[in-house]
Amino acid sequence: MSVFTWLEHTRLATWVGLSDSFFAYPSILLLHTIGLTLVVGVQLVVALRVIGLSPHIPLRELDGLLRLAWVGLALNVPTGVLLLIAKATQFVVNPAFYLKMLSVGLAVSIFFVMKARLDRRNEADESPCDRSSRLLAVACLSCWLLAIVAGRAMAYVGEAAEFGGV
Amino acid sequence: MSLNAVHFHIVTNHTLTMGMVLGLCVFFLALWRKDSRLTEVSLGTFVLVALAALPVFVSGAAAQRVTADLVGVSPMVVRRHQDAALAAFAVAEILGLLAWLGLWQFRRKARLHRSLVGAVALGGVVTLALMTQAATFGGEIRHPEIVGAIEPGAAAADTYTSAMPAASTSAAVASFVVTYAWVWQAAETVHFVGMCLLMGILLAVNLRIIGWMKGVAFSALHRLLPVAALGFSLNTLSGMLFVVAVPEQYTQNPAFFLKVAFLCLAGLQAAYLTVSRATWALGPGDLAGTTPRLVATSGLVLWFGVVFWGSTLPFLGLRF
Repeated sequence: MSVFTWLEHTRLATWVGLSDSFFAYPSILLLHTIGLTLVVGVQLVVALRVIGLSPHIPLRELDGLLRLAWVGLALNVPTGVLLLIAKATQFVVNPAFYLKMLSVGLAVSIFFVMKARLDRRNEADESPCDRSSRLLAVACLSCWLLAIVAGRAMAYVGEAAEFGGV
Repeated sequence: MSLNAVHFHIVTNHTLTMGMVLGLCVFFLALWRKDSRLTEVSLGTFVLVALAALPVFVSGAAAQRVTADLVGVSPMVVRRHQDAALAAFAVAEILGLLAWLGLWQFRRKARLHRSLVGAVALGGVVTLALMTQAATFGGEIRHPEIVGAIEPGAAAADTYTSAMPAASTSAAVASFVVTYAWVWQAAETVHFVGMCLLMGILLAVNLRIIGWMKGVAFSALHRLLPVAALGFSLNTLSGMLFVVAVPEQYTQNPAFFLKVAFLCLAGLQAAYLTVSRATWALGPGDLAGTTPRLVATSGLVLWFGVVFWGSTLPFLGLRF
């Protein structure tokens, strides 16, 4: 028995995947969706400021908002793991799943690089950002877009097609 | 639930045409008198009509199921009304977006771009014309007396059958979405992208009013609102594709009606953020008053409520 089959048959995984309780699959999916709005929504606001759409937002003021993005990420890692183990054997062979993980990892890493760069430069608060930072912001948003596309495709690609599909 | 939807549809659909007549009168009066305050009022009316059109359209889809079982109601007449309503709804939403852009521009520059004035005027006239047509066809569903000396019931239905075009827009849209699996999947993806645009921007704007990021002037965040409007438009479009394609999945689900109710109130709240003088005046370091802070808090509750009903509606009510 592979580790994924074992995972899928643990009591926790069967509860998530098969229980009729509202607190099982529906609530975990809801928390994953709310986490998505927090991570991507907040990083979008920061990225748009860096790109220059709203140049009068002092960059440092966004640090408070950014904490919510990490709340979202803290919500989505455990809920994502729960959703994953419920269908472990299907997602492990699903190419969309790997594309999503890659895009999420890239988006978060690029965001960290961009943030570190902006903090290091420590420019006057309302100044426009340099070209490299703007490119990093665009790259970060593109990775999030890809992550959403791949995340939705997970429900439609491969054996998972009946799971969450129409 | 279904019968309530019919009542709701009949009671509310008149407010749309009335609202459009009122809005257009005020709009042209404002142009003639060059009164910017009146222009703002008329643009606000168009935004309200666009928001009110959401529950009217959705309750109409629910009402269709009920009328299908009634003796003396021709499905052809209902379908003709549905097609006209779909066209009117689509144009009303576009007008709502243009009018919202006008309000947003107005708050920033106290004047409207000329091309936007022209677009709103054109959109308003077309919307009123299409709505009047939809309303007339809708009235004929249950008022055979207004179409002339014909027998009510089956005879009336026969008269219409011969006059009906072979193709139906609603049916064509539905079959497009259902036939090609990728359309549904793409619409779902767009719906998630729109949600992130909408939620991210409105989270930041509402939190600023509540008291986070006090060093940011409200006007700097107000600059980002069109991105939220883009999200709203993407989600209205993709959401309506779902409803037109598989109406029974939504019109038989109380959670969906709650989602639409939350959406209308949340839309009003976003309109407040666009036009409010109290919030616009917030400079760096300024604290908002009690009312704006209450409105901002309710906005967060409403928008997360929309996400709640949207995410859980496949599991609540009638499961699908």
